Amino acid sequence: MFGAVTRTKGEMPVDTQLFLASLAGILKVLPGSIKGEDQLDQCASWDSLAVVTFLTMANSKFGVRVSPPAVIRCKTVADLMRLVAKP
Amino acid sequence: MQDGSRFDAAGRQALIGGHPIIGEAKPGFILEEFGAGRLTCMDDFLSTVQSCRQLMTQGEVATALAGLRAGLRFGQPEPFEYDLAGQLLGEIGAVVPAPAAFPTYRVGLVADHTTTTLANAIRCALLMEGLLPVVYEAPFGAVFQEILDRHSGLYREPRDAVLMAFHHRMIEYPEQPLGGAVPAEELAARVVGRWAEAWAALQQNLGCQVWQHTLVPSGLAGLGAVEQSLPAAPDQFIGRINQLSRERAPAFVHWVDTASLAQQVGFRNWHDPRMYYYGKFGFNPQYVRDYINVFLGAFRAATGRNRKVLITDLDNTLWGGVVGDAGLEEIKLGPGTPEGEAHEAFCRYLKSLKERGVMLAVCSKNDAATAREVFERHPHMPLRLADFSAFCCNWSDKAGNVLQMAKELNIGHTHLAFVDDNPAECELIRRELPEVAVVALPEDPADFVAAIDEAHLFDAAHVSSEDLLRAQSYRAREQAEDVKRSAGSLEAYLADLRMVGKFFRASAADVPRLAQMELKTNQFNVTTRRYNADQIRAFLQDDHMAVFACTLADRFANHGLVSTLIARRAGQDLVLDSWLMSCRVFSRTLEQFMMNALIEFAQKNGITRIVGDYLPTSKNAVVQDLFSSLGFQPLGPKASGRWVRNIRDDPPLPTSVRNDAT
Repeated sequence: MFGAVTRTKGEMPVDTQLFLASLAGILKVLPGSIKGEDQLDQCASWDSLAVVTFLTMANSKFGVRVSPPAVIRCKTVADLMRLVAKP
Repeated sequence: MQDGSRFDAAGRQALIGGHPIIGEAKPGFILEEFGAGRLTCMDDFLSTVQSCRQLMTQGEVATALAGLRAGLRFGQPEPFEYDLAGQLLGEIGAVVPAPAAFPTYRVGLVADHTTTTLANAIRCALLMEGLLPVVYEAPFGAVFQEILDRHSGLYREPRDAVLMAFHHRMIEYPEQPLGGAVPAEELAARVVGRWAEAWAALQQNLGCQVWQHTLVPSGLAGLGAVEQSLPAAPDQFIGRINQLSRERAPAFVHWVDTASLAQQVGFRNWHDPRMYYYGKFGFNPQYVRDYINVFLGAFRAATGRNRKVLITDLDNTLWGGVVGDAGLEEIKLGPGTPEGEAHEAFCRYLKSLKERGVMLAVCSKNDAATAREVFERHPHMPLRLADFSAFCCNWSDKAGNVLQMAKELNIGHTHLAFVDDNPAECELIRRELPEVAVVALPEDPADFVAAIDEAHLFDAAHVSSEDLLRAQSYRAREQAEDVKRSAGSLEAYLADLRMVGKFFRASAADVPRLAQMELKTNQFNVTTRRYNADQIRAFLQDDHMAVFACTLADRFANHGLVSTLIARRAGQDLVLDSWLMSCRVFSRTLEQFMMNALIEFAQKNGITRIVGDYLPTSKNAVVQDLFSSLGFQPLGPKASGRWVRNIRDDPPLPTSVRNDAT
C-alpha cells in the first residue's frame, strides 16, 4: 500500500522498503510480510521495548526524533510510517 | 503477519553453515571459521539477526551464535539492531545449554532504572567475546533488596559477575545550593557506604566480580561556572561520589566508566529525557555502540582479556605519504601541514600507550632500511626503533607477518590489535586472523587517535611496574630469539642469556602484580585457580600458606616479577595450590630454578613431600608435562592429575638461571 515516499527529513529520504524491513526486524516477523493496515495491537511483539527500539531506529535510520507518546498513539504500521516521514 | 518460527526461506541462498537463510550473500564476506566449514555472514546486520533467529528455531544454536558474533564484530549494526540481537541472545540463553564453543557467562544486573536495553547491550558485548550471556535482570529499582536478601532472585544461581548501575536522578542530594544540615561530604560518604555494604554482600554470597557504572552527572549548571566551586552543587556532588567510591572500592570491584563516556559524547546527548520519562531508561540508546566499547574495555581488563600489542602500519598511518616513493624529507610528519601535525600527534599517542605498557610492533609493506631511517633521522618522529617490540617490513602478506610476529612474541591472537589505513589489509586480517582486533583507520589522520582510543582495546584494571617493563622484555625476547638462532645448542643459548633469578616469599607490596598475574595467566598455569588481591593478602596472613614470587633478569632486560607459586602446608606435605609463569619466560629453565628453591624451603621446614596438581584447560597444555620434567611421580592414576615428589638429597635440577643472592 505504500508508494515511494518523497518527503524527506534533512538529507535523508524515507525509504519505504528500508522502513518496512527495519520494522519487521523490530516485530520479529518476515520481511515483506507486514502491510500498512496491519494493526499493531494484533502483534504480540509490539511492546514497550519495541517502542524504545522503534524510537532508536527512527533516529538512527531516518534522522527523526520521535516522542514516545506519539508512537504509543499509533494504531497501524502506516501510522508509524507517517511518523517517520513527518517533517 | 508471520512470526519468526514460520519463516520460509525457499528460494534464498544458503549462507551460514550451509543452512538456508534470508537474504543475499556478498561474496568475500567470509568472516569467521566455525566448525567444519567456513561461516559466511551478510553485510546487512538486520538480515543476519533474522537468519540467526531462524537457525535457532531449527536447533542450530552454535551456528546462530557464530553468525551473530561475526555480525556484531565485523558488521556495522545500527544502534537499534543491538537491541534486536540482544533480545535474540536473551531467548537463546534462557532455553539452551551453552554449545561447547560458547561458554556460558552469567551476569546479574541490578539498577535503580530500567535495564532492558542495558541487558541487551551486555549480551551483545559478551557474545562478541565468544561467551553465551545469561543475564538476570533484578526487578526494577530493587537494588539493595536484591543484594542484601540472600533469598532473592540474584542468588538463585551462580553468577560470574554482577553489574550495579545507578542514575543521577535517584541520588539523594544535599540541600541546594550550599548544603544544609548534612554536609555534602557526609552525604557522599553515606552513599558510598551503602555501596560498600552491597559490594561486601555480593562478594560474600556470590564470590564474583562486581562491575559498576560510574555515576554520570546531569551536565546542568544552574548558576554557570560558579557551580564548580560549590561542593553541594549536583554535579560536584556526583563527582565527589565517584572519587570516593573509587578510593573505597575493593579489588574485585571494576568500574565501567560511563561518566567519562557521557562527557565524551556530551551529557545532553547521553541523557535522553524522552527515554527516561517514558520508561526510566538510563541512557540514550543511540550511544549503545560506544557503551559496548567502554563495557568491553572494563570487562577485558577485569578478566585479563585486554589487548597487549598494537601492530601498526607505517605509510599513511604514522606519517602521510609513502616514504619509499616520496623520501624522508617529503613525508608529512610534524609542523607545516595539518596532516603532518595529525600524524605526529598520532605517533605521540602510540608512544603514550607504549609508556603505559602496551607493546608496539610494526607490520608494513616497505623496504626495512628506508622505513627505519624515519625513526632514526626524522626530526619530528617521536617514536624510536627501541619503542617497538617487533619491526617487520617486507613485501609478504600481512596476515602471515602478523602470525609470525605472534609466534615470536609468544602471544595469543586475542591479545593483538592491528591498525592500518588500508581497508584491504584490514579485511585480510579479519578474514585470516579473526581473533585479532582490527582498527581500520578513518580517512582523516586527525581522527586516528580517537579511532583507537574509543575502541577501548587496551583498558587496564591497574598498572604495575611490570607492565612498563613488558615492552622492553618482549623486545629482549626478540633479541634473545636471535641469539637462539645463532647459538649452537639450547644450553649454549640459555647460558648466553646470563639469567639471574630471585625466588622469595611475597610481601604485601607484591600483591597487585601477583593478582594481575592470577587474572591474566592462562598458559603456564597448572590449576588455573585464580585469586584476587584480597584473597592473596589473606594467604599472606595465613600460617599454613606460603606465597612465593620469582623475578628474572637477563642480559637484555629486567623482566620483573614473572612467576608466582602459592602453596599450602598439609601435615608434612607442601601442596602446590597454584603456580603460574609469564609466557615471556617459558622454556628458560626458570621452573627448574624455582623448584630447586622450593625444595630448599621444604627441607628447612620439615616437609617430606611436595604435591602438585595439573588441572587441564584448553590453554594450559604447555604445562601438562611440567611435574614429570621436575622429577615428580604420578600419585594415583595419571589421569587424576596429581603428582608427588619426595624430598631427598637429590642433586639440584639443572638450570641456566643463576641465583640472585642480593
